[in-house]
Amino acid sequence: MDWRNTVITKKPLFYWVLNKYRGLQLFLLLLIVVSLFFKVFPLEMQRKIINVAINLKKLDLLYLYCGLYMGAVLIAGLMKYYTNVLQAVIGEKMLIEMRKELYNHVLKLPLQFFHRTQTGIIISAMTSELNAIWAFLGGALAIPITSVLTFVTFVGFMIYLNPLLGCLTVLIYPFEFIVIPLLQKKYNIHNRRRVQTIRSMANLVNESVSGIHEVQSNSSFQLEQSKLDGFIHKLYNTMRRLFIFKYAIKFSNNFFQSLGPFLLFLLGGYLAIHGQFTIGALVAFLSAYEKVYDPWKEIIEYYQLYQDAKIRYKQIMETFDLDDELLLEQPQKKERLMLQGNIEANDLSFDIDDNIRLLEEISFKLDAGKHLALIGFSGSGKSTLSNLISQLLSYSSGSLSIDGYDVNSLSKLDVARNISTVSQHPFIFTGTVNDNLLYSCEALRFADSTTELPSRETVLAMIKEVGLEADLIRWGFRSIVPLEKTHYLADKILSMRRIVQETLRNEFKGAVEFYDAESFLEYSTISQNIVFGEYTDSPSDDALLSHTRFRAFLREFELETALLELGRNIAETTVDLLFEMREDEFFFQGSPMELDEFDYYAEIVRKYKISGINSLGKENSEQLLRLGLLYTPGIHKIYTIPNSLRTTIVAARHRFLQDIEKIDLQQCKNGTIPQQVITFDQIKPVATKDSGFTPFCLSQYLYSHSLLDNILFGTVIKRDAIRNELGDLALRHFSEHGFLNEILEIGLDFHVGSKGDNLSGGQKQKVALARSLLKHTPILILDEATASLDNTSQSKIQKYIETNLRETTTVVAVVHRLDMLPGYDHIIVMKAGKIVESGAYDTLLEKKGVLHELINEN
Amino acid sequence: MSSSMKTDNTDTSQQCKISCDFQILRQSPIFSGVDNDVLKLFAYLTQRKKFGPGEPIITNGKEAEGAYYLITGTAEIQTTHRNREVVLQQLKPHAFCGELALLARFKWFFSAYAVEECEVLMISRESFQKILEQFPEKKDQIIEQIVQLRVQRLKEQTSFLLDKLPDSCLADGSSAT
Repeated sequence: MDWRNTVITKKPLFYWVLNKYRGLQLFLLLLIVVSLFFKVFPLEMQRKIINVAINLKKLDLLYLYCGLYMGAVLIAGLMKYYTNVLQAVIGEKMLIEMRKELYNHVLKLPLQFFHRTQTGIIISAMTSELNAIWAFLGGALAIPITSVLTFVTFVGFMIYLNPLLGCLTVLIYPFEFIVIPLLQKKYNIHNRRRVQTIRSMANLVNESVSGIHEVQSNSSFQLEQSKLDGFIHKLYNTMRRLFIFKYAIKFSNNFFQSLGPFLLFLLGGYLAIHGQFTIGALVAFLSAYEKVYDPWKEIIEYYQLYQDAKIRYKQIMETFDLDDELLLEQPQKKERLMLQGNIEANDLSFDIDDNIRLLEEISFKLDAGKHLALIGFSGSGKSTLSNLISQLLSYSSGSLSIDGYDVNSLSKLDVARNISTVSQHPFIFTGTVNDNLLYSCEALRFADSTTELPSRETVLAMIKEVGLEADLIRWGFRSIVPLEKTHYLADKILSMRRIVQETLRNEFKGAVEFYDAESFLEYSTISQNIVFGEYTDSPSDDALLSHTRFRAFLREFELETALLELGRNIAETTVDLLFEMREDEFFFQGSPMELDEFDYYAEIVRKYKISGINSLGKENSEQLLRLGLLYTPGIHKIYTIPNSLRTTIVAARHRFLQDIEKIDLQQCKNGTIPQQVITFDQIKPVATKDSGFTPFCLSQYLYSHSLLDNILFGTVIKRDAIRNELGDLALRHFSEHGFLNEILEIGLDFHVGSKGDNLSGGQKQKVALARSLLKHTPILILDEATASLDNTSQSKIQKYIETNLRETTTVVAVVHRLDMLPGYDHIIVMKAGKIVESGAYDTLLEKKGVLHELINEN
Repeated sequence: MSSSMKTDNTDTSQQCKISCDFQILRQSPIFSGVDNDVLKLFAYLTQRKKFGPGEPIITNGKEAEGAYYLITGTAEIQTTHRNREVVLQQLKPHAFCGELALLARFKWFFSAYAVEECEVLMISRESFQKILEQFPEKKDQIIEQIVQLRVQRLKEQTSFLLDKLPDSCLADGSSAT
């Protein structure tokens, strides 16, 4: 039977073994057969050693035979090593194929499957359960064949030595044929139970984690615990029984194994005493007997492994075995189907579970390019209808066609090319904003390589249309520009910095603390104040404790003592003031100390208050110094430093820059922009002189700072002002100079977090809208797609649809805002799964029917 | 817990920020009778802000995050009624404003603008709630003082507005045309 074209869930386990990597498996088989010779050879050598070399006292023969023996054993060992690896590799390769095909199949399963199957099961089946089959796959063919061959070879050798004894020892094995399968059956039952229990546990954990909000707000920890306990106990019991049977099988094996030598010594010894059997032969026979056990054991293990794998495989495939209703590609490759977008429904109905009717005899006709609005009460079936059109659900009776083609006859690829869907709660994938925006287009391109991806300009234009521009700018500002992009962006960023410094300085003065080499920086740490720059190999909030040059400088400039005292004072005040509040993170905002450090510092303070400052060890002093270095006057209210210290630090800064990092202060002085802008190439000699130090100089791009901080060239004090008026002011200036696109581009690389965590609900919606609109399909389906947006954004997008998509795109929108209805060509009002009114907006209003009532209610 | 304040002895011109704000808060009617320990925590968590002439301190419609205490300068409380800006009260130094924000969440129903250059202390609701979680006995006392202050201010504002109405209106309560 040709299994190749059947669905994966119907393929037997052995399909993979018999059809994949046949070449490799054959090679494996050959190797094992060849190694057989090297396994038998040592036995013959044993016989010769005893009977010839030792008996006849021939030393040189002894050496020869022993050497040959060892050589053969070594070769056999190496070959076994190699075959083991090969087996594992083959197994993995087969697993890869299996996994790919399975995933492919799973993704195309109908939506109902995902609604009723728990995610935990799907994950468990695809990952850990499939893994377990791996061990079986590699040797699935090779092992049984070679084991049988090996067995026969050794038995043959034994019979060659002495037929009577040989046959006798072999007769023991059939007994095992009876006992072992019995035990195996029991083992299988418990194994199946084990798999089910593990799946249930995975589900349970998945559920409680997904609903962790409920769990924590209800404090139902013990309830959830008890649920899991039940399963844990069940699993324990099952595993216990499993092991009992597993080792019972092993025991019976060992028992029968010991039976053999017993018989041998009895009979063989009897024959030897009567001179019918040589000692050498007895030794060789014993060795052969031991060796016969190996293939036998392998067959038993293989049998167990096969049973195991078969059951697991069956369970996995059963989970995903449904009728694969909807194919990706039609079997015969047709031409690309490009639809116009005429949608027609006749007596369309949809049932779930065979008797609950969600849609009843829906009939309508929508010409290509027209816009349809579906409105109605909740539960009226609007979303269901839109899902039927986009083939996410399959209708039960009646007909639904696009351009005359039955919707259910379209392949998924046809649907992807012609229909875009935006749902109310879109899923955002982990990745950058750009990845998400191009998702639909990329998907199309994978299937059809002739599809072109939209250009950067198109993407940026779409961003403006859906109202993501401001968000993109904000994300861009927050990002640290990646190194590869800095070489062409640095100039532009420095130009933007110059605009702020020259034109907007007064407006920004109160909201930003600019980097001024002559002034003490209230909103930077002490170490930043001294160093007045950034080291590319350390994070920007590092105290630079381990930086040797910096520490040497501190000592030389006699700052270390003062800063150590500062650290001590901070520690004392913090411990004193926050003792009652030390459990709450909130209170540590005004101190460089962190919550989890509190106990440590409390202990240090206690110690030196009793035994004096000099009792502090080096490590403790270092930590106190760290507090002093991380102190930021503008933020850490816990302590106030005197102005004299400020002056000292600025003086130290000047010395540090000039002497240690060799920076010319004139170039850095604020207020006087250097006549000659230092280009990027020229920056290098200054900055990399001593492993990546960039001073806070006007013409230096700061690699570890965000885009915004680089443009502002300082620390933000009033975050709100920057976000609002000042931000808009700056942007106006930047766009005049044509820098806006650069910022937008960096914004596109913003990482949205796991499942879009870093985005608000409205932002996710806009991204999803842009994603679908970029595909420019003839049909667009919106299922309350703008519901989570504010009114202005909703109107903006509605306007875009009315202006740009008129006559070019057929739009079916589930609408919740009645004031947007005038923009639609045709309106359908639904209630309880039926159409109650259908027609143009004005017509329906005149009728003074349901629509009229709905509008006047609001 | 010791209640001695750490002030820097080497330079008296730069006083410790916490002790400064501590002194200021101590003079306010809301915090009268409050222990030094609690007051020190408030002083630790308040923020100082400066506002230039005409700059908004509180904006009508925004989320109320905390109360403001005027240290220096004067400010005005305004509201918009039928598209007209009406001044409800003038604020002088040592006045509190927005004290109800310490107790509950709401959106500001008035605006406050600096008339001259002002310096204010801002106490956020979060700091207020968190500090008083630890000292529940003090909580009721302070809340009572806040409400009393609010009542007092309401009386002042009402008489300020009523003074502006012509006598004819006050007699029968009808609105001025």
